[in-house]
Amino acid sequence: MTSLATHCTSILLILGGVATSVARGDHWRKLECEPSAALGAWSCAATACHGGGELSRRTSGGELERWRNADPHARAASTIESDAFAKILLKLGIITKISDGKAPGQRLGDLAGNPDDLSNHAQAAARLNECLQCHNPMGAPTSWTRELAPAPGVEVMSDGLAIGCESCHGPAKHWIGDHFRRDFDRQQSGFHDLKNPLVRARTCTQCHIGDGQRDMNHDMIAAGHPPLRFDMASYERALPKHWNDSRQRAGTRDYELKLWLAGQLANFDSGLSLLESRVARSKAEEPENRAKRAKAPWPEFAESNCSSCHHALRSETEAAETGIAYQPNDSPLSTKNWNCGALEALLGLERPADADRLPEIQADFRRLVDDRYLRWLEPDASLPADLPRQVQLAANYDQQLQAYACYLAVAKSRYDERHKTSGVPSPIALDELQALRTLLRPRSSSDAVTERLRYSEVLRLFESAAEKLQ
Amino acid sequence: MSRLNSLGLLLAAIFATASTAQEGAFHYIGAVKCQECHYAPGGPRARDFVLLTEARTWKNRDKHSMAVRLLVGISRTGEDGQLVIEPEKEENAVGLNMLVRLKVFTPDDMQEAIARAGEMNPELQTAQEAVRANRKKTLQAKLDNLEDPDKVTFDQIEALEKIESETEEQVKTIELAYLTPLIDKMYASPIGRGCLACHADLRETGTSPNVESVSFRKDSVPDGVSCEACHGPGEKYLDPHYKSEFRSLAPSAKIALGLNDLRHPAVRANQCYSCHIGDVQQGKFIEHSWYMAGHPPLPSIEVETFAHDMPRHWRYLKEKKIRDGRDDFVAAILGDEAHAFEIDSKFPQTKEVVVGGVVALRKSVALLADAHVKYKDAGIPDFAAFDCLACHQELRTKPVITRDESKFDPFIPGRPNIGRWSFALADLAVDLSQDAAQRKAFDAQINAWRTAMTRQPFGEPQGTATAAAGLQTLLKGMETSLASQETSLEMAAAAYDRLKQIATTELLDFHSARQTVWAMQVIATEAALPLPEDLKYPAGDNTSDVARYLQIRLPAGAKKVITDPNNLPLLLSRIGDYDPERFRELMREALK
Repeated sequence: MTSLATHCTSILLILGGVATSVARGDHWRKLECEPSAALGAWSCAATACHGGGELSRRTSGGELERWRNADPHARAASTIESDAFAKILLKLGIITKISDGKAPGQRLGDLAGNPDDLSNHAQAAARLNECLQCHNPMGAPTSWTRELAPAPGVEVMSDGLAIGCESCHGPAKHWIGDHFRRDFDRQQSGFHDLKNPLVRARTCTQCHIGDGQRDMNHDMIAAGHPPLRFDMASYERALPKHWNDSRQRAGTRDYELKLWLAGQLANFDSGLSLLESRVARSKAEEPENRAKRAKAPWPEFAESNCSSCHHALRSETEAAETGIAYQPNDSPLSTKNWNCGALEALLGLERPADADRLPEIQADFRRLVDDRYLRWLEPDASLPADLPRQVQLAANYDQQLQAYACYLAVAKSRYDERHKTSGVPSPIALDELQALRTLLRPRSSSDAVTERLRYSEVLRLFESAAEKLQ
Repeated sequence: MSRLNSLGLLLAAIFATASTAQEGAFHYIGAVKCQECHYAPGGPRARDFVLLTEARTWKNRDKHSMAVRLLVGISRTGEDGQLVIEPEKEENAVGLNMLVRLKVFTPDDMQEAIARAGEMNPELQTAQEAVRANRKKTLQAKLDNLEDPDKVTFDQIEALEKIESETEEQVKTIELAYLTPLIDKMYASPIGRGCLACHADLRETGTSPNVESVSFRKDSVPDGVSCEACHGPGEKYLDPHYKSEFRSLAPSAKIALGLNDLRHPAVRANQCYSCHIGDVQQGKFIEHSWYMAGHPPLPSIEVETFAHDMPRHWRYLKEKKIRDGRDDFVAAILGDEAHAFEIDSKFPQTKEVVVGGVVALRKSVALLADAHVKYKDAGIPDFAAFDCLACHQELRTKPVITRDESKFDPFIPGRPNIGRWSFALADLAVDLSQDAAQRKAFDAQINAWRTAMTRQPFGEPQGTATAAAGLQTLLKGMETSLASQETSLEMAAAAYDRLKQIATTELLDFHSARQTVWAMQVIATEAALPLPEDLKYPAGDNTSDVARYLQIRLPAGAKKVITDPNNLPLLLSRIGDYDPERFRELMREALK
């Protein structure tokens, strides 16, 4: 099984002689998610605290309302009640039938295997539990959770929020009493310091990439789950925020770009945790493992760029036109993952070849970031001016999306900076980015030929956008 | 020599062969020997029991004769189908470019080949002109001789024939001078030998299945896939086989002499598939890296349709004219238990569609099981053992679950399987058996296969091997029983109806759709069932909607190159754009 990792390219994480100038900090701290320390959203909901009122710049109030009304995460429970969710479970063999019209709470009867045949039933339940790790971490009552408690000894939350305040901010038991104090220690156990962009990004990537506890793999994608393509800067722009970041934004140079970088670092880090867990679980003997987590498939296709396999067959001429040149020993199953591609290009990082060394490699990665790149996130730091050129990866669809996310962050940063200095909002490379957006939209099922047609156009647009964003 | 004596000699020869066979000495003799007889220019003799034009058809019209030339830039695209050495031409350079990328050739080899081609091509053209001119002279002399034997004597004709064959030798010499340095390089490399395992019939002996341990004969180099590639090494049967007594030998006695039993539909299909699907044990396996380097994808194959386009250089029993020898022949093969099926022989092509369909599945499961063994150290078998389209599909937000996917793929979606098309006609064969026990046994074996393929991506090696073994036993049994059963008109009609039903009610992937349409065409044509005009196999271009949608017409003939810029990119975009629902709609319209 070790040899399976050999198609990954060599490790690179070269540790230079840079002195440790930035404190190694708590931004790599394990994010607590112990459900037994969670109190539920109602604990935060007092009118004087995060309940009523309007979102304002300086005071608290209104966050929970905003969350409940506008944020898609608040409706996570409805996802797992949907037919689409049940269909995925059916295709994966976790359930054997879909009971229409059954009252919530009765669907557990659909789980594969006879409840008397514990090995099978327990495995189906364990696999369902995997879904709930992201879709219902707070254990809101749904048709799937009534009998399937998220973890032993956890009370089902009555606030109805499958993803609640504490899913991101940390379980509140230990800090609810003093987090509003001026002298509150933000490194308090269980408290996630989300003002720190890296911690914020890591909080998102726990689910949006996956980690040791959460794994959304290729089986699930094939069964209908959308692929996880995460870019924190883009996602945060799209999210109806329940917090006010204008002060931080105003005080930070290239704020958007730093968000982007923090997101990419978190993607990489989470990806390593996930890979490590996948390798370990693929080796685990099934019977012992069964009751807890399902054996992981290996090789795991979701470790690769989607388009490393999912591209139409091309004749030689077409391959040349799209720049997909033949490379000897080029294994299609590389670990060039969509979510890590930009960082690979920017920092010269590659994902590890040696599965057994993964924990060590992750420690190396974190040290490298601390030594070299953390300072890029400081409010006054400026990022390399030619960053768009460095991330100009356009050989395949994944890379095109990846580059597009980066270009957007750069464009938004440049826009904000100009606005700050001149007071006049003037967008840069807007035409190119809009055209790229149109070209890169998810393709419909009947639109399979576009990859061939649009390659040169995409390349030209990136080229032109890079010029302007320089 | 009395009949009895010659038979006795034959039997002695067979006996001798049987003992030497164990030591492994079936030598190939080269197509040039076969051409001495099977290259007759047609005419009255072609109506005989044996056509005698087989090698001529093969050499001038059959793509297989171009198999080696294709690798090194020689095509038959000259005027009147003349050979042309043009490795610098894009569609001709695919093979050379590929071999450079795979490091069998260096870029310098390629440049040298182009330079040599520049020198030799004019020589080759001149030599071929001479052949044409001399052939004309010989033919004229023969005609004159018919008219007036005094004007042109047999001696004169013989002299002209000698000149003709000498100029033909000249053509071959030029080709060999161009080819030899390249072929030598290929011999020296494991990948090169892998190419030659399918593209050439160059082995010295036919006993070792292991391509790495056999030596190659070089004088047949330009012949590509020639007579003995399918019929078996000729050393032992060459002499006996042209004696009329040979016809009264049972097939098993001929097999003992090294002559493959190609009359048997399963054997015939197996022979085609050993290259067209692959056979790891015979060293015939296109690795994924070869595809990446430029090898065109192996399409699905329905044996009768492909044979039609070779074009077929043989006749089935029912097509053989009654002249001397036929009765003995019929008596001999019908006396052989394995050939009892030929007694009906009314629908040999329909039989081949069904039996060939079963063999295709057997070869495909064997390929994956063998690939698991061969690539054991790599952890996963080479990707080329799987369906290209399992991975190479565009991402879709609305996936279409096809019939073959829901019936034959692993139970967890998103896991590659062997070519889905290989299940299509095997499943038809089970339907045709109308045997509930057969259906049950088949479904159980398929489920065992699906389970093994579900246990881990690419299949769990041990489980896949066990399931493959079970499936192969079952399928072999099906082949034998289907072959020995009478293929009746009712059965042909039932097959056609079932295919019609599948095509208009189920969703099929691209290659299964092609298999289905091809099978419908062969069966309906042979059994004279009503086949809508739009579904007929096109004589020329793909003109009907269905034909165009599936690029149903093959790029047949020695003059066509598969890698032609007008063919391959179009086929690939047809595959990429294919929509199962659209195909079903087209079939509903066509069959309305």
